[in-house]
Amino acid sequence: MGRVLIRRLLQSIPVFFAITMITFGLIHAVPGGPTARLELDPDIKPEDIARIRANMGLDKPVWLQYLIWVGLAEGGQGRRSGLLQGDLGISYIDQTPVGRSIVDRLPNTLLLTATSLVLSLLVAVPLGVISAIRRNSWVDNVATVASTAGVSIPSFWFGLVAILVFSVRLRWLPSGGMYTLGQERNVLDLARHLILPVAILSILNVAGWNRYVRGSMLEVIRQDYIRTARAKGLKERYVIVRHGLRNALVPVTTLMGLSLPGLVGGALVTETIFGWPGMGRLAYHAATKRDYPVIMGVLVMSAVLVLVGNLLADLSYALLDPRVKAE
Amino acid sequence: MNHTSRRLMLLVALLILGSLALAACEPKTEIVEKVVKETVVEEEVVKEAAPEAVTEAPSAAADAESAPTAAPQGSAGGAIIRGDFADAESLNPILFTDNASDIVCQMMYNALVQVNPDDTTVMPDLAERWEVSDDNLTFTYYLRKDVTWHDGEPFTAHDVKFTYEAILNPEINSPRRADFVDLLSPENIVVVDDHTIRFTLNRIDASWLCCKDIYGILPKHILGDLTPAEFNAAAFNTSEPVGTGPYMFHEWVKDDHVALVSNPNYFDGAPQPEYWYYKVVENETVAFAQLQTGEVDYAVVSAALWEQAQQVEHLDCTSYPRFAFTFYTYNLDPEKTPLFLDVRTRQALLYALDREAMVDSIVFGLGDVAHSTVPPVSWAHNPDNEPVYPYDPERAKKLLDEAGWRDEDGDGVREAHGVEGVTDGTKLSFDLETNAGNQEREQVIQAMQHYWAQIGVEARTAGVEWNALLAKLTETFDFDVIVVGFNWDIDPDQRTMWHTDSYQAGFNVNRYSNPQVDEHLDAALQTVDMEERKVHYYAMQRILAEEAPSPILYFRQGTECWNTRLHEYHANDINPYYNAHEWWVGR
Repeated sequence: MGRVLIRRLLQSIPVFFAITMITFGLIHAVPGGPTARLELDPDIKPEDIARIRANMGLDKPVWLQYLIWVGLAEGGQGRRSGLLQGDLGISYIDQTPVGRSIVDRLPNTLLLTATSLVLSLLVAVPLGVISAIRRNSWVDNVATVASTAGVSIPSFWFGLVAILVFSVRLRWLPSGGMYTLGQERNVLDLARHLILPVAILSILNVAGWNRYVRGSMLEVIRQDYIRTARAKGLKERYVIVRHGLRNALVPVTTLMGLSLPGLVGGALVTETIFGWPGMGRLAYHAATKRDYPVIMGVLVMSAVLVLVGNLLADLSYALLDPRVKAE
Repeated sequence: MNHTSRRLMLLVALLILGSLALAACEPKTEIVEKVVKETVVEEEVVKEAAPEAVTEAPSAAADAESAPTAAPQGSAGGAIIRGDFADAESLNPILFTDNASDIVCQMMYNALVQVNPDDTTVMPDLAERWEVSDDNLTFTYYLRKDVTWHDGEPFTAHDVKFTYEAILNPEINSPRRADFVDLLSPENIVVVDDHTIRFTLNRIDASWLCCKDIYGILPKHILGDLTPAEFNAAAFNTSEPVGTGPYMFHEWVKDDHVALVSNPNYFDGAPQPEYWYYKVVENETVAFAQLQTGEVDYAVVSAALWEQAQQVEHLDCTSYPRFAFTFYTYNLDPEKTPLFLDVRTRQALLYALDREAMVDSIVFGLGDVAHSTVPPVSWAHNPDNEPVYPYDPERAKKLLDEAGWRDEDGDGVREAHGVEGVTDGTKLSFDLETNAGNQEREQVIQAMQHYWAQIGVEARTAGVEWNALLAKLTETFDFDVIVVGFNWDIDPDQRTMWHTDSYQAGFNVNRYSNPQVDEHLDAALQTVDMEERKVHYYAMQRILAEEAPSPILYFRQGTECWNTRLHEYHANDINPYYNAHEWWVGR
């Protein structure tokens, strides 16, 4: 097990650098740049833009900029610090260290996505199981129709309707942000701000996952060992939970592992509508402003998480499924 | 599947669909449709040219005027929340380039002088008074003696010198350096004494007083020892800014809000609200929702939501003239296209446009048809400028006939018959482009296409991706007619669009050149006397109206709403911050 783990980790390293290299090249190939937004401002002269670009090192060839970013070459103003030194660089737009921006945003995003994930699982798994064992019952049918609606209706629409109904009209809940400005911050206030975005985010998750759970469960309850369990005279609940659900959750676990980067990458649309200061908006704004260090910083984090997520999914397989362990 | 469950499923499906349909019928959801349309926030081509004049008016007159209404008794506290669409980028007044940072910096810093929002003249800020030498080259500022930085240190003339030296330093990333570098040398910024500073310019610059001495002043005792690289990335710029303004930095949660706290030692009196917030909201729809819920106290409201906003009980709304304008430009470079070289062609196309109707239908009447290149809100605007171009399709046709554009082959499009510089038979048919995704401009080019079709002119409309359009305007110059928008600065100097030298170096994108216009533009910069400058700008406006090289369709109006609990806020496009320390909120 340990050897497998180490081998997998070592394999990840070249993959990781290939990912960063390709992305670095791609984002620099896209038209525009961190100073493009200055170009149509009649107050700002072209020579100022050229000077600022040079100060930032943007006039250097892309391959050299990559080496500087990695930390293998000396950057602007005599600085040699990059990824290998554990430094993600400094934003071209607001001059904040990228690491700090990420550390600032990550808890906000995790609060939103993790709450939603837990909530979604609490709803989606039981719902999926019930749908499966009571196939074609009214519960199953309602769940099917609702899931289809949940998956197909865009979340920005849901979000705006929720704001209009619960904030503007009913005045029950705040329409955005994490805290009420001008008031003492407390957990209750935060919780109130969490309700709408978590609800919107969860609708999508529940809609998708309960289908997976249902499908997986249907597969499992047809298996011989379920019939055997029943034949042994085990209680139905024991059969479903112990023998059925546990096996049904194996493919769902893979899905969870793969959704780990999304958990951290943030939910752009939900964050945007509700003004939630999370990772999704950080990445999105960095992309629109071509803030290369921030884009790369978020990317590095996502790349690491994708690799870790896959690894974790494989490991949890082994825990849930003895056959995998044997191999 | 048995019958009962199938019927049940159908029933459930119908129920859900029904409730969705019902939800869609609710009156409030009208907004949703507008929402969806409006979410494409208008792309501001140019950074707001609003001046960097910094906050509050120290003038005694302003104080006396507002005394009766301001200063609510014993209600210190509360918070004012500004809603806007982009987060700030830097809180260092010489480094930022964007609007959002400007708005926040205005609350925290002061400049030497500031612009009076009523008439765009200059009024005191950190300088109590100033003198201009007879040769218009030396400006001496006498500074207030009662000003302290937010950390308690006294403010002196050394801070002013330090700030301007920083702007001039090539290793510091100030985007303003080119404005100053041939105008001012560091050795010509002289500290006469702690409260007197003298700038001697290398040449006369009429825009100095309104527009170059209005940058927020930085504290030398904090930033003075940093290297340029340290200065560019200083914690000061994002998390520890220190100014002299009515509000002090409290915190900045990126993409969420900037919080400032009342400065108890502000030289014109501490603001009554305890906090002022700059809150980031994604777009105008969300901003409007938050104005309604009271989560935001003041914000810009889009034209589409304007009527609705005025009906909200707890909102006060106002529209005001702006320096922003929407225009189209004819390519006048003979190497690119010969179609628009004859002035009659350009005039005819302008007469053919019903601009009043365009303003009414496209920007909901929140604009003013332009009769001059200088906005009506500027002191240099000529209200009697001629010629004006009312909607007159008959006149347009006549002018085109005269110029030699006639439709003899009967295909509905005029072709050249002896038009100067154009091969006979060439159709008056060209590309009409704007930036894709900007709904206002996309509607504008459609309207223009329609009006021009009625006089036998064919325009092929196209929305072009922003960066590609930018390349056409600043690099390749390959276009026929382009519609975009700009923002003028407060100073009426318009060299950047009309001066021959500004081709490729400024925004003279269509290669317009008229020596007379060049002369007036140059002469107007050689004096600080407003009346003298006016003469030149009036003459320039007249020539530009006659020649119509890049007609301005209309000037936009600003539309803003604020909660009635916010008092003493005067929305305008020039300097809404002049009395920021007097704003207060009721409960």
